[in-house]
Amino acid sequence: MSRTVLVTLRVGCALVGVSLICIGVFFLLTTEPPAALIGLIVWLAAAVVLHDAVFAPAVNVADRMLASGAARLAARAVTAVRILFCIGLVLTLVVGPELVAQGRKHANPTVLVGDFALRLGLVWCAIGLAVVAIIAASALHTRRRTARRRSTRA
Amino acid sequence: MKGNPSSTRRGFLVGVGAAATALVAFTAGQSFGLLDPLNLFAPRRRGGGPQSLPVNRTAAQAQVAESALDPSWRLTVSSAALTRRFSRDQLLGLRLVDADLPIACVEGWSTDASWRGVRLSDLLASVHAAPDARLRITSLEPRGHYRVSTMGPEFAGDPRTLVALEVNGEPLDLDHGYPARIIAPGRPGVLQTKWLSAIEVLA
Repeated sequence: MSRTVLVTLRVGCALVGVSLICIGVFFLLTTEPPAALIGLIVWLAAAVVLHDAVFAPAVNVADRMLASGAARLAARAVTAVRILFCIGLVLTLVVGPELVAQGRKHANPTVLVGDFALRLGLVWCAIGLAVVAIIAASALHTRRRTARRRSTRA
Repeated sequence: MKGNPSSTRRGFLVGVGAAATALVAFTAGQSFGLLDPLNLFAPRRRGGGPQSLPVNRTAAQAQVAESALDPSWRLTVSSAALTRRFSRDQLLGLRLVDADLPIACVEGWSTDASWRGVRLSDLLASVHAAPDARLRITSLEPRGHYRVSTMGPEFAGDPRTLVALEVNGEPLDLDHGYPARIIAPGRPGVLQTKWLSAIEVLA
């Protein structure tokens, strides 16, 4: 794709995005009462604080741990392991509040009926097994390749 | 991560896509039959609850168990011209119509159901109100954000908007709004007022 086409596409996408944001802001300001707008600002500010103060440092630490632990693994295997952990973490973030809500007394017997803790545990077990399989496959692949190189040199 | 920047970016995008896919697969089954067998983590089960319909707020939570079962319950329908009160039996004696409509909850679930009840426009006609009236609808709930709601003419005039008395072939369960509730097409679940008390035509 030529550079001109690419730039045109990008500018077009940006214009569509900015227009949609403007429409959203217009309806937000014209339909919501001031109390709701203040609530929204507080919610967004809390989301930024949570992201910058909790999620970003936690992901950074986990990333460093993974990088040091997987220094000898192939880049593709590290990516696969990272994706699996990402899936597990996202599911845990969703299931965590459900577990807290299950622990509390609630008067509606039609919600939160599943054994979420057991299911989450099983999902993490599956992720653990998949990680072990990926590491083993990657190590085997590396060893075979090293052995092949040695035999070619000899 | 080691590797060239494009593989890192690709890995990131695949990771985000995979996590989103897993989340949808394991939770959307509460609304989509196709994904029902994979529903591991959604707060609700499809078809769960009395009469195969989930409940957001029970009669006990809304503190209406007593008033809703009171034999002296009447639905008040009023306009500037006239006020009428209907018992549940009187409502059942009117022309009943069927409507297949979903409860689409703002909490993220949606379930279809077959409703039977009196057309809201018929009740409005009984107090000489136009079918395109603006309405105030009040529940028996003593308190709560949605105890009182307003309904625009786009709902009141729709022939599928009912004061429902039955769901899925049975009288409404207490938790589904017995003795009568609103069901209208395209209205958020929290505004499908349960345990009706009054319908007023606004000037």
